[in-house]
Amino acid sequence: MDTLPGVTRPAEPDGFRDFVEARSSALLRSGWLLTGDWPSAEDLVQTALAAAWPRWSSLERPDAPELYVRKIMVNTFLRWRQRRWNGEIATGRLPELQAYGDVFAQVDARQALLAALDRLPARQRAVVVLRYFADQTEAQTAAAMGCSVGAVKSHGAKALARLRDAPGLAELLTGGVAS
Amino acid sequence: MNTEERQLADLLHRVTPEPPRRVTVEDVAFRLANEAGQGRQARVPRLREPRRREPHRRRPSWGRAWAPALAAAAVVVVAGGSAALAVGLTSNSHHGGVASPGSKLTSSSAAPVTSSASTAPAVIPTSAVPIKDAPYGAELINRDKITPGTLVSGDNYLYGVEPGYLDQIDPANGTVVHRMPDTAQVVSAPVIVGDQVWAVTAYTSAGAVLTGYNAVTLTQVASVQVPVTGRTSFAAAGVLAGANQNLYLAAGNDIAVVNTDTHKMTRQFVELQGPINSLATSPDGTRLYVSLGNVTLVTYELPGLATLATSTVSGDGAAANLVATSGGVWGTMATQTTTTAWFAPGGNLAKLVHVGDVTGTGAYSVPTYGGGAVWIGGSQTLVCASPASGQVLATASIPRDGSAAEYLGGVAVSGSRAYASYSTSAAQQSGTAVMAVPSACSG
Repeated sequence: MDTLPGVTRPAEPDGFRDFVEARSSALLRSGWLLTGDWPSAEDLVQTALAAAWPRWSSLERPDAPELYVRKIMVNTFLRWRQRRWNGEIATGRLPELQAYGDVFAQVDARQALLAALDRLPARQRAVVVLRYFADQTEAQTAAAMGCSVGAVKSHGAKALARLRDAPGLAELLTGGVAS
Repeated sequence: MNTEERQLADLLHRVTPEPPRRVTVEDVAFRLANEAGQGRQARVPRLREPRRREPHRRRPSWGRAWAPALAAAAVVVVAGGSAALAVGLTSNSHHGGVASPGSKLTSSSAAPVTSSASTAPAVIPTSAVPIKDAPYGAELINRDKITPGTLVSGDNYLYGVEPGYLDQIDPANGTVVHRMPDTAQVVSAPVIVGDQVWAVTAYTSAGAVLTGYNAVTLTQVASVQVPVTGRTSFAAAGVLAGANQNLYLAAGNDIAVVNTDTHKMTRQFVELQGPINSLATSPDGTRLYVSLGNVTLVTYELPGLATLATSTVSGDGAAANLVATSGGVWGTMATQTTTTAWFAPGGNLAKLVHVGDVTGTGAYSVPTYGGGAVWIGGSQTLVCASPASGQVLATASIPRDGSAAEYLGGVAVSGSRAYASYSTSAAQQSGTAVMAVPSACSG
């Protein structure tokens, strides 16, 4: 029998809900670093989870789901950047709505960080997020991005060089604002 | 990592904020449904036949017990599958309600249509499976993963949404009697109006579709297109309500009113700075409560839709999944890390109080109203409360499965029995639980 028209979604896989509840915050934060805003981050995470849903049951290694979802996130992000970038460069950002503690310093720090990340090409930005925020190894980062470990090292080194020169980031790197 | 790399890692962890809200499984399911509705199916493998529960594969004891029945039902299953294929083809060919990609729906109604519901294969055991240490003698009567908060009780059946599907369930034994045709994707909790069951079967910024089904046969009787202005709610389960033969839909910044007799959209008014997150009608059909933003609650008089009151509460949450009772409005508040349930006496958010699990447990915290009480579940406690005063009438502990949490919530009441969605990750089992209604919660 052929496939049924309109039947497009399999059942919720076992363990999927636990993963989403446990890891969505971390994934969203990675998405925020990649995209620079929460709506896009949420869009990115939902896209990755929706794509992972049908293959969830086939992921056997304990760390496989997160690696798999992050791989989809990064590749989706790179695809979006290829397709969506239109030459516009953001020059300002709206302040975060929610902030606690030293509000202004936090907002400044986030804006400086996002502005610095905006200066990076997409693949360098992805390496920064995977290696230094998601704490993935060079090999895991290479696997997620579909490139060699050498390429990851190269992207990472170039990204660090660019970030080193980003306005306002040097002082943040050596101390600064707590979230 | 060298020093500079460590400093960068520290900076990223230190400065990156917590998200304003988390992504939920329901968000993902909703997205899948929308993508399916828009024809974006490449990432999702198609199923070879109508999906059915397979408890016997994961729980051999059930399968062995039902081997004779399965053998006897084999012919029915094959026939049912073929029938469902025919239904799918037929329905797909005239299912005018789903918005095409990028199109903006402008028409308010479509001609009533009729199609057959698929009959679910009879593979559900009649013997309930006790849930160890569960409150009120809860037992698992099927393995249907009904989305918590979508289970409602009709005259003779329960209706619930298993992600994407509308199920009609026999409360006597948990059997899924009918399942809606597989050509639409249910995203909202079903709403019973007279002898019809309605649900939102498409919900995007391009438009929404309300689909009505015969409450007994679950055959489709109508499909109504509704334009959407602006963004849709992040919590689609609570965007549809019914009263006085009318349905009320949160359509972005607008509220759409659809007459269930004529199957026409009779009114859509623009008054709110949306998006509207949820709405609910009072049991007596005289009030419509609407939540939007962070967080405003507007009370309208029905059927005139005159504004009666507006109240707000400050915070970083978003109110959704509204339920109205005689004493006020209930709902959930989704914040950075949790979803908790609340009660606003008289619909006044200034008097808001939180009810149930303090830490919140997502969809299982969605309040439901049944059997004369409001029910709020979670992973710690199952609470029933007075619909008039909000006072907690009874609290029962929800057990843990070893180190894993168990979830119980989304209660519907039929007769003297309560039905709830149950899940535990340790045993990887989910389903519908039945339990006795405690006297304190019987209204």
